[in-house]
Amino acid sequence: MSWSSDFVELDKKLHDRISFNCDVPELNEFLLTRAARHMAAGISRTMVLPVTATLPSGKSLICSFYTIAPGSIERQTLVKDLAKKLPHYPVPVFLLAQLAVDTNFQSQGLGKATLVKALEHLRAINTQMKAYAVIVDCVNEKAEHFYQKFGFEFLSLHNGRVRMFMPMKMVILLFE
Amino acid sequence: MANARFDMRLDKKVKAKAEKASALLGMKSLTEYVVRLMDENATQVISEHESMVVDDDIFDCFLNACETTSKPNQALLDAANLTKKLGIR
Repeated sequence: MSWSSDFVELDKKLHDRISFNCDVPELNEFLLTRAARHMAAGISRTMVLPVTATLPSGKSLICSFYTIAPGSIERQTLVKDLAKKLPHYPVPVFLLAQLAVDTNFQSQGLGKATLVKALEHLRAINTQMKAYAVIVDCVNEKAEHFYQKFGFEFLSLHNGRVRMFMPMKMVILLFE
Repeated sequence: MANARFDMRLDKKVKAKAEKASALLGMKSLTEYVVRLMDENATQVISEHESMVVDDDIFDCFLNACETTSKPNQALLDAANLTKKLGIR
């Protein structure tokens, strides 16, 4: 089975969400029950990489997916010294809310490619609506290592999870 | 304009309790109470979801990092090349 050449927006009618398994129950569950609802509610956008072949059901298996959303970061206390010329609060960021590869397609570099395509997508959005950085919340240690390897830096701990970021400036340079 | 409808089923006890609370708050009706609760809670849930508040020093370091231009590392550059090799546009 081979994958398509393009990531496309998740479509319940075209993509087989039930078969997707990346070994992280939380991410499988998100794709199956929440991704489409979040898209309808304008919370986030999920893009999938389907296989080229179609199942008898008329749907295609999903090799990998990513979900992006807008967000913002605020400083706990406001800076009173206006001479510091800091930007207005809160500052806008992009959230790379989810990213997963199906176990049948792992170890072929699809994780890397999915990350690159997600960053490329965010870079395109950034030309219209600027943000400071891309933020990720790591579901587990494996995810932490993954993002760290590609230059994401530690930001903070959030609900016991490591939150990391990559400046948009770096993302822009990646595609120049 | 309040022209959208939302019907709900609820436990009798909860309804009685909510009627009492809405009267205590001086609301004209249970509807007014529920609408206000929904609006307030929805605002809070959405803002908690979309906005992250971080400690001052973390925020300052973050902003500083975002304003200094640093190049993507080799692993990320390799990943971008690999993406093309995998035939993903």
